[in-house]
Amino acid sequence: MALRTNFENSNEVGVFAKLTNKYALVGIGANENFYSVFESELTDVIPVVHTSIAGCRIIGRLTAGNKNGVLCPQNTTDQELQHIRNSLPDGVRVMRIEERLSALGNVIACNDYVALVHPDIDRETEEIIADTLNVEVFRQTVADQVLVGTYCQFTNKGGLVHPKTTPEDQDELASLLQVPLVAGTVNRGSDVIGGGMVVNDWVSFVGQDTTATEISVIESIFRLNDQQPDKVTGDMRHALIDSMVA
Amino acid sequence: MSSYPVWDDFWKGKLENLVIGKEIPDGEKEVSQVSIPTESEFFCRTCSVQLLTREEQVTHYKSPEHRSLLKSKLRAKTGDAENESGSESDTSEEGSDWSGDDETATSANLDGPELRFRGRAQQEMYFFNESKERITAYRGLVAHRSECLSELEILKRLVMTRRAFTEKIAPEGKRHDAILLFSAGAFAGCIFENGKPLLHKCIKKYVIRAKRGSAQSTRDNQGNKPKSMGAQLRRENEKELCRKIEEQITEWGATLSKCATIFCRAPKHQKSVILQPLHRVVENKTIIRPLMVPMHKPRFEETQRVFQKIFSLRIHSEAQIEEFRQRRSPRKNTEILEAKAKPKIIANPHLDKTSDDEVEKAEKSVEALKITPKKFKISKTQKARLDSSESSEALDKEIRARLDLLFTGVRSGDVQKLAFYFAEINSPQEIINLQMKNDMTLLHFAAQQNSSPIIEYLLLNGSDPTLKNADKLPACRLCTVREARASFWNFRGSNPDKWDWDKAEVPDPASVSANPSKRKRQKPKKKKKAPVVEEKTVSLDKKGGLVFVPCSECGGEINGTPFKYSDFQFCNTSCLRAHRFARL
Repeated sequence: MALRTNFENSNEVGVFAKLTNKYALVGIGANENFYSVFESELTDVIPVVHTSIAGCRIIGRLTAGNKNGVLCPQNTTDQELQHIRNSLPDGVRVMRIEERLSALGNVIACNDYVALVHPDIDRETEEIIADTLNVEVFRQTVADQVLVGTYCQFTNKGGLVHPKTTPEDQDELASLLQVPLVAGTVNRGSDVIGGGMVVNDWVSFVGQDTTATEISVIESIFRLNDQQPDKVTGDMRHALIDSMVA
Repeated sequence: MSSYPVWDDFWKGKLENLVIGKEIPDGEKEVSQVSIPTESEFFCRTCSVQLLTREEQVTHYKSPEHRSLLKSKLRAKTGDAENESGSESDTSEEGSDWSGDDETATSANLDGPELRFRGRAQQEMYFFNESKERITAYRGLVAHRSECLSELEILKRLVMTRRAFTEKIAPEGKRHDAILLFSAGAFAGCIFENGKPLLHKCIKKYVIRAKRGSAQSTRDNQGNKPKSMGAQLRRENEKELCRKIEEQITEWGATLSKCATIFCRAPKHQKSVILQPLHRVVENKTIIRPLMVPMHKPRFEETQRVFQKIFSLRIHSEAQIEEFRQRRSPRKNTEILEAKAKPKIIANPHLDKTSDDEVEKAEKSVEALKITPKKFKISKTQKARLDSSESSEALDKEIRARLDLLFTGVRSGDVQKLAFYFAEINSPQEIINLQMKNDMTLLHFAAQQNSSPIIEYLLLNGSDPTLKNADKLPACRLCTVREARASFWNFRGSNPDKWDWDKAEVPDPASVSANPSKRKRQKPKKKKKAPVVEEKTVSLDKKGGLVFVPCSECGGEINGTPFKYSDFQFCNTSCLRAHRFARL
């Protein structure tokens, strides 16, 4: 299921929240609307943690994580780190890493098994990512963009990449990640996939502006509605092309 | 080596069955050119490599080759965007050669081959004929820099060029080539028809500043423009020259457009003077090529010389190639022999593998030193070397192994480990003062690491602090921390007569403790407002020295203003952090 929501009138849901299969991190806003959307949807299943990173609300862009762990940038305070550590379920490792590229959410894109990272990331950081998140780490670009976390979003079931990714690049990425991928947009044509949505294996939150077509693509590629992803390339594609032609 | 023009009869029959580069027959070369199919499940498009299994894919993506290629690809992309405006070659032209043989030629797809030929294209091409003679040609003769061609294709073009000259197969039996040289206020252009000058023009103007060199425009571009008469003259002349060149090229337009090749040379900032009018009259941009041979002043004779040079192939016989190869190796061998023959007096015989005669030589040289009337005093180090140099080679190895053990102990920074190694080897005292690379002793290494326990242990076991390394520094001077130096002077305090301590440059412990680091003390005195260190809390540290206001974390003395939080005082920020965040 894909739910539309916004953070204080901003569509960039992925900037203010981080969603994984084991936990959700939500930034501290002026009101609780955003938090309560997550709370109502997830509270019985996984913990939803209210937090900030280095006093900022943009936790989705500053952190990276999956079911095995969460990575925080160097400027996270001890208090915040302790809070996150206390709130997350057992078995989720919390790690603070020293990395020049400190917006970890922008430079790391990962599911529970594979991670794509910025080509310029430190070798040590790469090892920490592999150990903490328990993933295979690949240095890669998405549609010639080095900020892989910003321009793609993928789970264990599927992935959405920058709309300008060439079919050849999509094939390569799909073989690398071992999940089906589709190029698409969120928030009515925004190419900032990672910033515009959060997703895990069963639920997705997208910006308020996201169109119905975009939602149906998202639901089908991430298999949120028990739909098969080939529908995107199959019958739904015809519908899409029809609407574009008309 | 001999060189002949392409159209010379000398080449008759010699260009027919050429073998390319590393003696690969023509047929095989074509097979290796097949582009990598992208249908396979695992492949890396950055490196254009096909991978068979998932494991292979994972290891490939983590290999340093892939990473460096990925980075250089990204760098090239950002670099291209900046250079695009300045480059003279037409980018759309570059793609044309590739779209032919690969149906799925997208912009991204072209990156691979472009990358391979990035930087300067190979200037010269080599071919071998049947009698194993090497034939060398300028690549620019037949192909533009931006054209990505296989060697086979270049060879084909080369043969066609020759036929164009000899058999007159070009349209109307005339082949045209042009040389345009522009440099130092002079322009010389010449159009050749079948290798004979057809049209030529030389324009000269006074634009270069006398004695100073460099054109007036170069000077003007640096900022304020001089207003002298000469400067104005040159400026006007330069404009005139550029205008004339442009006119000349436009006038030759009809002939230039028929040319098979046009070679240009112009100063970097004035490339456009030649290229702009040229691009207007010439449709196929790949025939405009930069000059690849050095040139003198642009004159009519120079154009002819350059033309001859470009359109010549050079031939090396097999014997000559072999000669080239061998010319280097014997010299190398003799160098090595010479190096070996030199007596190594300075080197440490007990550490280097030395032959017996070298040891003899070393002894002789030392003997000679003894005879000198000045009563040359043999230093302790030399004596130590002499003593050990008498040992045989077998013993040498054994000593070395022992020394290695001790060295490991010292480097570990762990006294217990060192003590263990000391106990393990027999007679460690013998080798403790041996000098290694750069005349370093074990004590030097310990001092370099600032590990005071190790230093103390070594001194206790008879390490000589007076020995100096290659930089003429005793061990004590290598310490960068006061604590480590303290271990030296503390040892001096307990054993004042064991060594020549002044030579070891170890200060007297009494003088040191009384005035800890003069420099640091003088500074606060100069600043009148600097807070005087409180003398209320005076305590004694382990070594008996007076310590003012002990650091709450390490207990050491605090130099200057203490770092504080609540009631605690610290010598430095790391102590403060350690204390403050210890409980978190």
